[in-house]
Amino acid sequence: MDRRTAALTCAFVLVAPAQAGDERAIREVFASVERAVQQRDTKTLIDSATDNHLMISKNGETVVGKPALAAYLDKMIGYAASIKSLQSTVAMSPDIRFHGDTAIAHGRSRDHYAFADGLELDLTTYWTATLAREDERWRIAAVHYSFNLFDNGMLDAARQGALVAAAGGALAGCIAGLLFFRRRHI
Amino acid sequence: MRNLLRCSLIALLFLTHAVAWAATAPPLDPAGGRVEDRQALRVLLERIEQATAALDIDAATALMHPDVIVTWQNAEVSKGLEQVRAYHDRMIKGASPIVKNYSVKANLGGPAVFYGDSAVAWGTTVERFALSDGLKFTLHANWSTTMVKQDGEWKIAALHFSTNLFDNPLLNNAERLVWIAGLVGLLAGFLAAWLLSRLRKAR
Repeated sequence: MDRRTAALTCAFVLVAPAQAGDERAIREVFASVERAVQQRDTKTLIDSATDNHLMISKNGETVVGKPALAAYLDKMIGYAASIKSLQSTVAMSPDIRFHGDTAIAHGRSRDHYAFADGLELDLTTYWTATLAREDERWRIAAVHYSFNLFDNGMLDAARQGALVAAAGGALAGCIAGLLFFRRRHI
Repeated sequence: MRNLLRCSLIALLFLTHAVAWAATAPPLDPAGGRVEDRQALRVLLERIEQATAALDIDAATALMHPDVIVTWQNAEVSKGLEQVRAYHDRMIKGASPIVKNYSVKANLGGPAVFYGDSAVAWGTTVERFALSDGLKFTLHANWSTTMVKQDGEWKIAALHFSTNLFDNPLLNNAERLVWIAGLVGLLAGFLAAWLLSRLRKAR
């Protein structure tokens, strides 16, 4: 083994366990966020974000900074929330891309929403997250959520609504027509 | 398949123009610090805009990190330069063109946030589409990117595009369809009643 190969092997042996530790830590950040969402634990969610945290939410809101994040979470899952219940299963892609003290992870989550206005929605969302290591702790610096613009739960609900409207309209039209033509024949 | 091609091409057009904010970005505020890096980031975004506007995939991928992750509007994820290139080839060199006319106005959401040698930037776009099948719509979209400095050079490491789940032109069209379906159903029901009454009268 020449000197260069030995150095590379040494570097790999030293770096690989460190990266595995970072991966574990990042996965734990997401697991804790997932638990916090289920339990509506806004304190843990805010604590998992950096001070200048960026979030682009599923409803297209851009939320920058911890105070804005706190207000958003309060609106969505806090007291008198827009979301009555949320069940979310997060599937994180196995590959995390490390760039020094930042890391990029992505994945999808399957969510079931029950909104305060009665709407229930199943949705698959896709996300990209950038994490930063600050004081030996990984925090979420940015997270961007999206969905398939051309195939999603809201479009499905609207299509089902069209079928219901067509059937309802046909029934109403038939009843109205029968009454109308019966009266004309009397 | 046609739908897939359509949405993929739309997503590609996002890449082409999402960074057009560079032209309309506000002047740099020196108080924000790291002025040199901020200038370099603007140059990077201007260059990727030019490259992608010219559909020059070689120039565009040259500005991306080899491990880039791109999430498109159709929720497809391209990982690495080869997948981005394959996506581009599939959309551009695929079937007949789907978009007839397209224009965009993009904006920067705020100053980039630095984390060591990484930076996060975001913004919005307003895009107008005229598709070959006659459909025209305007899309209000969001984009975000993470850029990393490698050997003194900034590269795009992640790019993500999205729209509002609850307010977008495709959903608005689908909701319009509910009204149309209801009206068509009503008319069909009325017609059926007329036929029934005629039938009864003939007996």
